[in-house]
Amino acid sequence: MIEARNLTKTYGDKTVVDDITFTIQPGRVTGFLGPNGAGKSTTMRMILGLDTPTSGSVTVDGRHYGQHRAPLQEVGALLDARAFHPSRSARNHLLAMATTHGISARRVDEVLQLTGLAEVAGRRAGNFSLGMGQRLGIAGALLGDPKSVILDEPVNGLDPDGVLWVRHLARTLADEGRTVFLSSHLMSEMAQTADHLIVIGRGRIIADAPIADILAGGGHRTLVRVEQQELLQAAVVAMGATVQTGDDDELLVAGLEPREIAGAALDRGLLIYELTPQRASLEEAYMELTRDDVEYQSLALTGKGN
Amino acid sequence: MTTTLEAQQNPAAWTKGLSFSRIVRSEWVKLRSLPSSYILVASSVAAMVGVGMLGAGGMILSQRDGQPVATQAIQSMPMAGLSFGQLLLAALAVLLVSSEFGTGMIRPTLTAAPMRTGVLAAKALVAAGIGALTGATAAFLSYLLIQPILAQEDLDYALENPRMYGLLLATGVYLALAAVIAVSIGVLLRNSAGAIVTVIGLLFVLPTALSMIPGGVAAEILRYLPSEAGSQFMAAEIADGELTRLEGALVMTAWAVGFALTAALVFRRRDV
Ligand SMILES: Nc1ncnc2c1ncn2[C@@H]1O[C@H](COP(=O)(O)OP(=O)(O)OP(=O)(O)O)[C@@H](O)[C@H]1O
Ligand SMILES: [Mg+2]
Repeated sequence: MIEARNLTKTYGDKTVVDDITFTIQPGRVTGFLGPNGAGKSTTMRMILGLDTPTSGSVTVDGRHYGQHRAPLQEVGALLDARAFHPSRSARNHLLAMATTHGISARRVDEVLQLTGLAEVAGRRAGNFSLGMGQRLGIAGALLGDPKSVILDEPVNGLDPDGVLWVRHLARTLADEGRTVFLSSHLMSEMAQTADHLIVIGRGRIIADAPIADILAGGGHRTLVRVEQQELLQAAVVAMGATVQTGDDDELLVAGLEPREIAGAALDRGLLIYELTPQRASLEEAYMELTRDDVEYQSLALTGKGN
Repeated sequence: MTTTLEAQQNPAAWTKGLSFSRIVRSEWVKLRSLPSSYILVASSVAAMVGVGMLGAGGMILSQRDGQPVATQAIQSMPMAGLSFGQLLLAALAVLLVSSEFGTGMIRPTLTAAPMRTGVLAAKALVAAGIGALTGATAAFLSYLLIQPILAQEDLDYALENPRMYGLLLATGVYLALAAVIAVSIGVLLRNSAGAIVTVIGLLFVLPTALSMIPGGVAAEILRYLPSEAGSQFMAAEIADGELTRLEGALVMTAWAVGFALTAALVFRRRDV
């Protein structure tokens, strides 16, 4: 279990993680989702004590990471797929980490096997592809057979096989009762892996909920085609809905059930000829959540033709 | 129904827990698993032995020209290459740290061993150990290899008393302390190139520059630089007014301790 309380990090005058509080439960896969620069990696570094919080605290099973007697047994982490010396072999890299805890060379060979690196274990890690580096990082995370596993964008650079393998690994680890915390900026990836999502934008938590709830939350809109759309619009707005108007007779109503919308139309004698609940895709739900919190908005590439 | 899920532990992964001696061993594994370590140690020894042999050759020529060579000068020959050799060894010590910052390896390192003072101490210890070994080996090797050269003019000498062994061993002590300074500078600057240049500046360029400036102030500062103070405890003979062997050793040690403490303070506080 990982618990953050009012965790804050500022670099200079820039607040990168802004007073966030969350609990990551064991036995399930928790996704940490947010656009580029949202503060995911910074949060993960604070969990491991690599960055010191400006204020607030974060604990792993009740203690600061560094206070555990065998930290590698508590948390295994992959933060960066390139975090090894390029001239050192994969096996020696892992052996150096294992040695700090008196973990046997047999376990090193085991995780090399597990991550599919056994064949290349003796080669300089500098020649590894991004995906192989990612696997080496995961091997390091698994070394101590930890109770919690933190992986920062673990599927970055992996081939489809590798992606499946990471998903399966995360699931297995969670099913074994471990705490699994994965970051990504891709909702589609999280949708396939995570049970629970913490969505972060500009250093603040936007959502912390089971993945199904997030899906439902973003999808609560209804497309309505109605004659005299402005009359219905006024009616539903009065009932607390937010409305976007589209072409012709189109309305996109959020915040009301289809039945309530139909009721409003009936009361006013308006003819509805389409009423479609819109189930947003995860991607849309996510865009909706983070729309105002994207650190780096992309500029539209298509210019307006005059 | 299972109510509590316990992470099932794999017996092969059972850990004995973190300890300082294991961190030291881990640093040793890192050192010996990089080809550059062997290259730098070997070239450091080669530089020291090479300069010693060249120096010995020079003495033979000078003796043949009818200019006799002082005994102390002959006995200092095994240490003559130190000012070059130390730079290669110091580069190795710097890289022990700065390469981890450069590659990002520092994060796995500090994830496995979060006690930063312990990690720094382990690195300093390993660097000091390899420095001591390199220095003493190079000095003894130089001694052995220059004897046949010196013998041509009957200048060869035996290690007849403990003091002479002491001089050779002092080379190891000097390099151990220099390595601690280099590790500390690696921590402070993090950048490999910058840290290596700084170490070379401190141990080589600065003393050379100061020795060329006439005047008492420059000479006074020079006396207390690590390289100069350090060379005093390897000196075959101490001239009047120079630091004694003990004083030299104390000054050099103070430098190393001062650098190490500063590095520890900074390392404990800084985000990585
Ligand atoms: N050491 C640092 N000094 C200054 N600013 C930093 C530092 N580390 C991170 N930042 C800034 O903090 C913000 C959050 O960075 P972080 O890496 O935590 O985001 P992220 O959510 O992991 O993004 P990504 O999806 O791109 O990996 C960014 O704006 C980044 O520029
Ligand atoms: Mg990141």
